[in-house]
Amino acid sequence: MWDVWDRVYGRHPESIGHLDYLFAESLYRRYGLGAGHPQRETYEE
Amino acid sequence: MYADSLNYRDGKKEIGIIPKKGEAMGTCATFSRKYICCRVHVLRTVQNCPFECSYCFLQHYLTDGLTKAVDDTATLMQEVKEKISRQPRRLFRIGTWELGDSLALEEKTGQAAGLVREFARLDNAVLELKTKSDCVEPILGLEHRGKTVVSWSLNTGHVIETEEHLTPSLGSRLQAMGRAAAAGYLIGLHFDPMILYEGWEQGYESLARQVSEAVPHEQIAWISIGSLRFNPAMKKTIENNYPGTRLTCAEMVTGDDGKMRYVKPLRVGMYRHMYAVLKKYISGNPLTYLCMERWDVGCMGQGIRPAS
Repeated sequence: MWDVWDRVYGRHPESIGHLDYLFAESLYRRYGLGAGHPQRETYEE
Repeated sequence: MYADSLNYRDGKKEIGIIPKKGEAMGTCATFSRKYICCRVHVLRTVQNCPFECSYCFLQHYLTDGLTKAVDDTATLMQEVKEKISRQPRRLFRIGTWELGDSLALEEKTGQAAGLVREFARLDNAVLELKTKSDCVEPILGLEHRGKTVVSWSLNTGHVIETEEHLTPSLGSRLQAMGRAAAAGYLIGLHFDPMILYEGWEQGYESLARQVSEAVPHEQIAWISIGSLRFNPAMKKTIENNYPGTRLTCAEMVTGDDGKMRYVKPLRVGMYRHMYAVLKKYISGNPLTYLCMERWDVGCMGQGIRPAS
């Protein structure tokens, strides 16, 4: 079946923390927002 | 006045400017382990809203007869800075829309402008101002440094006319969005709540096309899609406050979070359609997510489950 997450990222969010990280990664990559490249583990705490 | 004698509309007539009391920053009230939540934080700066959306939970939640706006930005920011400093490597998204509209009262309160200026100086936080209004003039000239996302709750012309009473038209919202984008703000789009009606497919496709023509796609920071949901106890309130509404006529089910939603096949069909038309009209690969959906719907039935 068609998958909205796969179509955008090529992957599914694995947790709420992962989705939070995906926001941070997108905002850093596209606009340079945040204090450095986001680390996944920071968002799983 | 006594709370039990108040009509919820009474609370939309007067604005009280109040000091900050207690904690103002927290997690979104919809945070749930069973439903996808994007873990946005909220800053409770406003309570109530001048608009009258028939589906709005505030009509069931706020009955104290006053619209309130917190005026002491310095105290609010003290709490924000203290909390985000605990996780300096994390990027916080913080919205002011939990119990009201972020910009609808801006000409009277100046609240958002103060926050935009303050967030411009923060390294690990982004402010989200979410609105259905066209009130952007007070924030256009501010030095925001790209740290504020101005986002719109959008719906089809039909839904705006029939369910989002007293709100600006789609055209006015899109015009305001274009002005905010021209001022350099990042833009958020919230197609939520999607509502079923005869011709909804064409309506939402037209909406996506109009949005795509209103704003540079590279400035669209994120897009959310969600569908109608409300507490079962609110059904009667909606019918009482808006006797002409068709919202409560649809087949709905109660989810694990206690909220009523369209049945799952309908919801999946709506999301698929919305995402397809967004892909058709909007380029730039903005982050697109489902607001408050189950993991199995969010992942469209591929059997993926969250680790937590």
